[in-house]
Amino acid sequence: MTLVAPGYGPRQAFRSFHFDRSSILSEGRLSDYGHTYDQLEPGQRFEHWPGRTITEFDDTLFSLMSMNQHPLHIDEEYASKTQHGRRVVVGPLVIALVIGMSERDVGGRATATLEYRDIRHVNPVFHGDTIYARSHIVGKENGVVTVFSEGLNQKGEVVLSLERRLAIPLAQPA
Amino acid sequence: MSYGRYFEEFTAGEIYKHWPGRTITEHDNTWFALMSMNQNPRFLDHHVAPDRPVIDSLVFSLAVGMSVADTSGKTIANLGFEFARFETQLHVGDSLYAETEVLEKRESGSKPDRGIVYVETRAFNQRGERVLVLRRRFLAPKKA
Repeated sequence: MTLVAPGYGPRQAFRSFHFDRSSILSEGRLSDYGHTYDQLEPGQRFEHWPGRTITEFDDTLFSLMSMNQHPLHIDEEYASKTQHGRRVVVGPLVIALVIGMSERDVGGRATATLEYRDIRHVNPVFHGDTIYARSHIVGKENGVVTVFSEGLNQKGEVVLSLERRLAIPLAQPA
Repeated sequence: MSYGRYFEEFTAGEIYKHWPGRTITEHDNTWFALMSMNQNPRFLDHHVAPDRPVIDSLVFSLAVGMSVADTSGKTIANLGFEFARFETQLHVGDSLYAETEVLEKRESGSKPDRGIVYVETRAFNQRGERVLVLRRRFLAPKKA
C-alpha cells in the first residue's frame, strides 16, 4: 500500500489544465493541486490537512444560504427540546467540508464529479467540533476514479463516510 | 405555518414541486468553495475555467435544502443518502429548481411514534435539463 504525504508541499510538476502559469510567475517549482489519473492508484491513502472547527456562524449561514430552514440547525430553543438537546450541524456542511478537505490530495484535477454514493452521517456534529478528513482510492477505470472519504471529529470518532466517482484526466504534456 | 411533513402526510408516488428556486451567483460559488476548504481553481479562477462551473457540493446542498420544507422539515434523523448523481454541469448565473418524489414509506420496526420515508429529489436548471438526482431516507415523526 502506497502512503502519500498530505499536501501543501511542492509536488511533482504538472501544469494546471490548459492554463500556463509559467508565463505569469517566475521560474521555479510549480506547486500542484490534486492528482492526475495516472498518479492515483487503488489502495493509496491520504490523511488530509488541515482540519477545521465548525462554528455556530458556519452552521447558521450554511443552512440559510442552502435554503435549509430546518429549526434543528437554526433555532436553539427548538433544538434544546430534541434528542441531542442542542443544535446539530447541517449534514451537507459536513459533506461539503470533507469533500473540500480531500480536494488538494484527490479531486483537484477532476473535470467533473459524477456521483456521491452511500453517504452516512455516522455521528452528529455540534458547534465547536473540529472535523478532519481522510480518503483512500477504491478503484479506477476508464478515466473515472472512485474514492472513499471519511470525516472524523476531535475525539477521533467517524462522523461521516461517503464514496465519490470523479472524472480525472491524464497528465497534460508540460 | 407548517414546515416539513408528519409520517402520515407522505404518500408513495406523490411529487412535491419545491418553491422557490435560486440563481447561483459568482459570490455563492466562490464563497462556498473557500468556506468548504475547496481551493480547486475551477471554482475560483475564471481564467483557468472560463465556463465558471458551479461546485458540486453547492448544487447538492441546495437541492437538499430546497426539499426540506416539503419533506424532512420535521425529521428526527437523516438516515443518509443512497446516491447523488450529477448529470448536467451547472454554471454561475444558472438557476436551480427541485422536486421530490416519495418512493416508499414504512413504519419503524422498534419505535411506534415514527416511520422511515424514502425519497428521490431531482434538480433542474432553468432550461429544464436535469442537473442532479439523489435518493435519501429520513425518519419522520407521527402526528399522534
